Amino acid sequence: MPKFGKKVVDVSFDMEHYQGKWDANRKYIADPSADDLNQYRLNLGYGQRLASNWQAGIVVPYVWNDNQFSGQTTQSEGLGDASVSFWYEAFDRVTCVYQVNSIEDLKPAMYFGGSLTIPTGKSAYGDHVTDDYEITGRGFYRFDANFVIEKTIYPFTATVQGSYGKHFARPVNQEYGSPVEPYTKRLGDRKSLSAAVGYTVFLEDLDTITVTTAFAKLSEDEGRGAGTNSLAIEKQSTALTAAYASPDLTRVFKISWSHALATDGRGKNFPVTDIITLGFSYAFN
Amino acid sequence: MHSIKHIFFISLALFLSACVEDLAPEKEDLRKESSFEVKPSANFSASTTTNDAINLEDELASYDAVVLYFTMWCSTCSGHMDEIDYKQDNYPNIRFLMVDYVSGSIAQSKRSQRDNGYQHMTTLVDNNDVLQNLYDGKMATTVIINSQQEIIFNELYKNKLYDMLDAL
Repeated sequence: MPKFGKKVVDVSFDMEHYQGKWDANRKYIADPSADDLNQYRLNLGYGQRLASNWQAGIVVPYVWNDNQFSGQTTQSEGLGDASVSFWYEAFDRVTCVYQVNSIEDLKPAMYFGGSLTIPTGKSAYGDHVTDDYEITGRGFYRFDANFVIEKTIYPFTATVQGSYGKHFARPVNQEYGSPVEPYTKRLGDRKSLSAAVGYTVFLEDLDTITVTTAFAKLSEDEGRGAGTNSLAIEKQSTALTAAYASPDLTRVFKISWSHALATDGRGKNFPVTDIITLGFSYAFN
Repeated sequence: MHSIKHIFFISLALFLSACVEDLAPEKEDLRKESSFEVKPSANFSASTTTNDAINLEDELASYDAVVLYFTMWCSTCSGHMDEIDYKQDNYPNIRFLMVDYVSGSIAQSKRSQRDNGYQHMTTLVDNNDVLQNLYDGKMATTVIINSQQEIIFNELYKNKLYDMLDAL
């Protein structure tokens, strides 16, 4: 949300296409050509400024799975895992500058926050899933500590962001619709880090187009529990984003392409996917 | 505007707390029997993706036990099969057989096996659902049949499998 914004509505649509996987030995295995595995997500977000340096937000996704594999066709849909977040802005004024005249001009915008993932989706541990292709959520609460550090010296913007998440343990008494001996399960800690560089072009009316390229790494430790194994996972990806912002920054249209690096050594026990996202946000002053 | 916001958040809270299944998971044991009951297994014959015939009784004449793993070639199945592949060398007297219960034909199953990189793992094609019905097989169902032709383990894949094999 822009510094001046009081509230923001954000709507985005993800189209994720499966391209293969990294196995346990970090080897990339391409998706069989006859398979066509897709997930679509409509994400509805709302953010509210609580105080001059504090904001809160909620995102609720709705998920459609559409898969063809091994001669089978399956489709399923449902709510995904929602998340609520709180952010503190460790700066009082907009930190974007056109040129650096003093040391003060180098001060970045820093955001620190916490987010809680709520298991509102259909998980492997609930009543409505019998196989992997029906899953729309993880089934665990998770709390993430997040940070974003961003500096814009027009026309360039550099951003580093990261998070460290801890899953909460939960009892499990069924997996994929089959009752199992009750046990307690906790997924591993989740870490993410990304770095991005953007370039902004000003249009005639001072509206802007910003193109950003990013590299991201996501990993999760092995889970704990007596049941079906939750393996350690890792994913490295790049992203290219183009965003149009209106002159008053109230309206932002965004298109982005996230591409998992489909080569050996760039991930582990994780699907390799491409994600195209179309998004729109509107900030209320 | 404030009332709209409040209505939105109250509606959302009600929606999230009332309409989903996992927000307050329970510990209740849903199994019909709290402990696994060893049962005899019927004999079966099935074709592999390489058109070889596998017969349970014949396999048990040569091995201490047979392990069946039901795969639908999903990412979870791949993770399990990678682990089985990695560990099966530790059990030379155990016959590990993957069961493709989704492909429906030998040709399709062979394609799925090859495309997913598991040509080296013997895979049975359960195109008539015989094994699925015999062992109530679903994604990741794992079965151990001992040399007395008894089913001593029939659960979703987990590390306990190897504890059971070690104890044989």
